[in-house]
Amino acid sequence: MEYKNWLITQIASEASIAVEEVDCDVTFDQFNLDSLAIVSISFEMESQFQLENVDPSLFSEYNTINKLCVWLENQQ
Amino acid sequence: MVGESTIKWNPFAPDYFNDPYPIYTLSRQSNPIQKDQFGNIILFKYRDVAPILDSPDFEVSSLSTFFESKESYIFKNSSACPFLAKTTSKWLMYLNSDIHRKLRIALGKVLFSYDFDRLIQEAAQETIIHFQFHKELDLVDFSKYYIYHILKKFIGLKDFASLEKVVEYSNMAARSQDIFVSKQMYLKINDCLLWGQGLFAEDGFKAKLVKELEGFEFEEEDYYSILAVTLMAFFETSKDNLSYSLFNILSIPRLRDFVLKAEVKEIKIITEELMRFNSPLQFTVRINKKEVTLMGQVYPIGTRFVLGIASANRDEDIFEDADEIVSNRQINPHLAFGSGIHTCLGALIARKELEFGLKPMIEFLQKFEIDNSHSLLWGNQIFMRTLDKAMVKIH
Ligand code: HEM
Repeated sequence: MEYKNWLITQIASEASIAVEEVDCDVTFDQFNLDSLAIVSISFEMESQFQLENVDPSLFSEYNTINKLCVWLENQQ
Repeated sequence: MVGESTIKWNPFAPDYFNDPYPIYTLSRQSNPIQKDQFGNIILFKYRDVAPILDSPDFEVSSLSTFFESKESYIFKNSSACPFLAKTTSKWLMYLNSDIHRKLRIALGKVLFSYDFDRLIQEAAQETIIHFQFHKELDLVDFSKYYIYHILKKFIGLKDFASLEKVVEYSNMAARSQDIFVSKQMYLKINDCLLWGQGLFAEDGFKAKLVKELEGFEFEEEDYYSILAVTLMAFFETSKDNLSYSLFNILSIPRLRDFVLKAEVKEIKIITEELMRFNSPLQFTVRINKKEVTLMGQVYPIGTRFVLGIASANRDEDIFEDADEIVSNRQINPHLAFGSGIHTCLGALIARKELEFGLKPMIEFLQKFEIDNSHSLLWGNQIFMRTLDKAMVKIH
């Protein structure tokens, strides 16, 4: 849950929409994010969850919040 | 065909920053033209990179325009004053056509009005004296000290512009040009660029620049932009090149002996070889003005090509024993300074820094050996590869 809420907040803030509007099964490319946003979220994710070298291409493979949460859970 | 191979350049792979060359090699062998997730086309082979640098059908991509389009995003929830687009607006390597040509001539005139031979020779002596009683030292600190002392003699820095401040400023300016930079980093860079306005003295270099640019109707911020890029271009790559060169020479006895015995001509030859081997600027970017075809694939106007300079400089099709430092390599058409109309304006100065510095420095440093209890530390930078720490200690 911690991951999910954190990702929802990040996506909402990056896409300038309300958290309620963030659908966890919608692919990231549908959020109208700036191309720098993914790099910026990766960077935040590194410091927030003490991960090393988060690869932004992760967001293409795990391309929804729900999928990315599964990935994050497996990192711990 | 682009993108079908499993070999992919990935700067986020573990160990990439320690050594990006294995993936360059694999890419040249199995997937020399790659497309990344943002649509950039990344080229690894000399035969693809070199002609693009020389071609009038390609132009540089404007860093300042990129920042203009991104500032509303970067500064969305920030109270900082956006200064990225302004600071980079006169950075020569990101300008095209007439303004590039005119500014290149003007900056070249100012740069070459200094007696660099003397400045460089003095700085080499000062550096050796400064470190003479050290029992251990960091080759990166040693290199920073040297380049800073050359820089300070001509660019005119205010008293508070200490070595540490210049190091940080130069590094932030270098990082502003990297690929895959987060907005948090851009905000940090922005702060540093704002602060840096106070770095430069009014007389000397700046006064010469103002005089040379009479008639351009430049404002204070334009001069600042030129001073910023000169500092960064001068300091960053030279320091990276020297620190890794010294490390390699001290690590390999045959190179150390070669330098100790070398005449001027041989020092010039090994200088070129070190430039090729180190390639401090590992990549640069070009955009095509006309449709181009590479390996049967057509690329529309406006495609962003990321040119692997460092990879091209290790291409076995061009350089025999490309992964070795061959001290007397006779034919060395390396691209470390780029090629074509944007060829490094400071190449002559960068070469002299090694030509005058290498021999006296190695004579002094030969009593040191690489301290294997500390590993080499590399910065997390993709375009400008930078060594952060390389310790040596007395035998
Ligand atoms: C070993 C040291 C250096 C290396 C490897 C290096 C490398 C390069 C490369 C590859 C370019 C071309 C970039 C491109 O085509 O996109 C370039 C451009 C440039 N360099 Fe250097 N450089 C070095 C030192 C210096 C120094 C000491 C200065 C002094 C001011 C300098 C000033 C410039 C400038 C002003 C440009 C832009 C030229 C233009 O766009 O017309 N560089 N450098």
